[in-house]
Amino acid sequence: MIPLGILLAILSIFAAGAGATLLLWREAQPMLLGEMFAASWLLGAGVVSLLLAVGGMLCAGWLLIALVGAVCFGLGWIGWRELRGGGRIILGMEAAPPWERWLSLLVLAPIAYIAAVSFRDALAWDGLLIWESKAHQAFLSGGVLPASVFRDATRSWTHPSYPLYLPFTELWVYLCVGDCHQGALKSVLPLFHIAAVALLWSGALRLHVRPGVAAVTAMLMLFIPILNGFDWGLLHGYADLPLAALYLGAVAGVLACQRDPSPGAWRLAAAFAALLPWVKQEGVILWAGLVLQAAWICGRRDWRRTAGFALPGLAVWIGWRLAMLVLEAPQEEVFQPLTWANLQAGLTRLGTVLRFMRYELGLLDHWSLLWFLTPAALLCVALQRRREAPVLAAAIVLPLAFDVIPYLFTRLEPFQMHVATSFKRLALQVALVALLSVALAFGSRREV
Amino acid sequence: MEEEFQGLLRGDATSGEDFVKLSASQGAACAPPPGEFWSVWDGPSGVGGSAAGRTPLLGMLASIAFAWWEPCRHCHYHVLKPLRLISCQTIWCLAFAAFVAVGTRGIWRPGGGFPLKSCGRQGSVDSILEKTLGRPDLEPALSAEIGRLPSGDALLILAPPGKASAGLVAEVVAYLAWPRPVTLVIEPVHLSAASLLPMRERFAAVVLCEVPAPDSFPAGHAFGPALTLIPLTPQ
Repeated sequence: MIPLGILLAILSIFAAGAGATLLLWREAQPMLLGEMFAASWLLGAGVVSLLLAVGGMLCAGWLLIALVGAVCFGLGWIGWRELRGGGRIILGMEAAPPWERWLSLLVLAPIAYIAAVSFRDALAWDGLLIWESKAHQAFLSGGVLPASVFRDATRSWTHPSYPLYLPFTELWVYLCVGDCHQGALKSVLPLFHIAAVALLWSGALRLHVRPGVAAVTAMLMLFIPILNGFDWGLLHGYADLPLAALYLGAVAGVLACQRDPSPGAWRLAAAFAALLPWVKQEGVILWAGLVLQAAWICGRRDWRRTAGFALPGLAVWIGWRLAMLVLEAPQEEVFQPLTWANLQAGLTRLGTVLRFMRYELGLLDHWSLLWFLTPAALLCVALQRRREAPVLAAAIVLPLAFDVIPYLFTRLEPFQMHVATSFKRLALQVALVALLSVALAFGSRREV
Repeated sequence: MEEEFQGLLRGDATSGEDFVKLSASQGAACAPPPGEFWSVWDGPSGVGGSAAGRTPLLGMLASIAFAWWEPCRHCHYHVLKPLRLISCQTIWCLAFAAFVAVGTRGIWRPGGGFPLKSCGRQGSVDSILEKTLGRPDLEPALSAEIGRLPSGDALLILAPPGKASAGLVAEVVAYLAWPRPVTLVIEPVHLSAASLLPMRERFAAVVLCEVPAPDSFPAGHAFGPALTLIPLTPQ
């Protein structure tokens, strides 16, 4: 029964995501297979987790499962009708020479690797104690996270106020399987990794990168040790790679729209961006950066388009903050209040923080040459006079610059420990966009 | 120095004091690891070596800039354009190859996590307990023991600071004890017969993770040498 439950969970998430994706797309331009697959999984997980969170306020148990299942397969049916009504999905390599099509098979390398090693390591640390534990607790309470969990001061180290994208996706797997089966999660989590590979490949194709280069760049994900289970990554149940994949989807969509205006791609990018604050608190920083980029692209005259991009994410973020307020969740005490005195005190740490960030980004055992190639790639894109250059640079540099601020205000002592344990995960969140910049620098023709 | 940073990155540092010492000598600590990236790029041609100081990145950027520089418009189509294409693609191909070569070490390196022993219901918890406590299949016994305590009563979990494995075991015990309230104390503790009485008033049991139990304490259930659960109320 467990494999059947896993299959049901995966199918329902894909159905919900495919329906939502095709509803958002709705335009004559065809979708790429890779972006369809990735968006179906990433948005599907978003739809399911939001449904469980909202539906859990109304009902629990079998009723909740039936409600979420019905919406998922209902969305899937709507998506099917969209496809039959003229929606098109293409591979994106139709004009490529045969050798490049064969080279594109390299995309399968990281997928095969992650499938092979997904059962190597157990869920651990944050993956188990912060993320999975919420799915565990909600499952034992009939699919609803009890309000007492948010107020439980004795377990404040599980960060009760962290958002629920990943925990409730895991909860849906548990509900479909009918048990808190940690083994079942090991079958589902690699799909986030595969979605990230597919998104990187299709994102590059969408930006007119040559298919061979797009495939080679997607394959490079395999050679970034931190993305492939080195220490603590997705294999251990962390939420950083799903966040990175959503961010990549949003950035690739915004860049694609800057190049060839496409309402469907814009809506899809807005949906990816909206889910960022629902995955992790740092998602708000990424979302805010994206809104700035969207505003820059649209300009003052087209403020409605910017507002349309920003509002879904704002609604998700405010909704979650309101829920925490109503549930009387205690404030996280990790950071000091944002005051002038605290800022002055924090600025004394700036040098150390920056030096450590530089050290971490240069660690070949974590990143291979990614952070050495990225500045070169950005320079190359700028020299090619591509319109994407400023937005792409901002998408990489802004989050890394903002990431300094929390360390100036952290209460954790010594603060260096906080930087050492968390900065690599913050850098991981923009690593996929950095890879996209490498693809753009190498794989596309110069624009004049 | 670098090893100490690596220790912090792995999360197995004994305390933050080492890091404070490191920050006192940050110049050395934050220097890039010698003999890794530099050995890839510091070639005899000096592309990233002496000409650009110790910064191969600058050398590479200079190469790219050269590839896009336009010194002569007349020769643009016949000489410069093909030359640029070849130089640019060669640089990138070399960069990709170096990326793969350096990254390959990470793929084959054994993971720092907990090897998954089974894909069962609590497979991950079992794997963590097996690696940290050295005994297989501890989860059912531990859960059963916690389940025998009076329902709703709190659990006191003690672990020493600076020992990542003890802290992890303590948190895993708290995970298994949900929804029972827990008090997790990761601080130096000195247990004595006198500390037993206040504990009995507030807690159903005390869990000692790498904390030795004094002789004056009642006998508990040992799950390996590093984890003991001592019920404080009659079961």
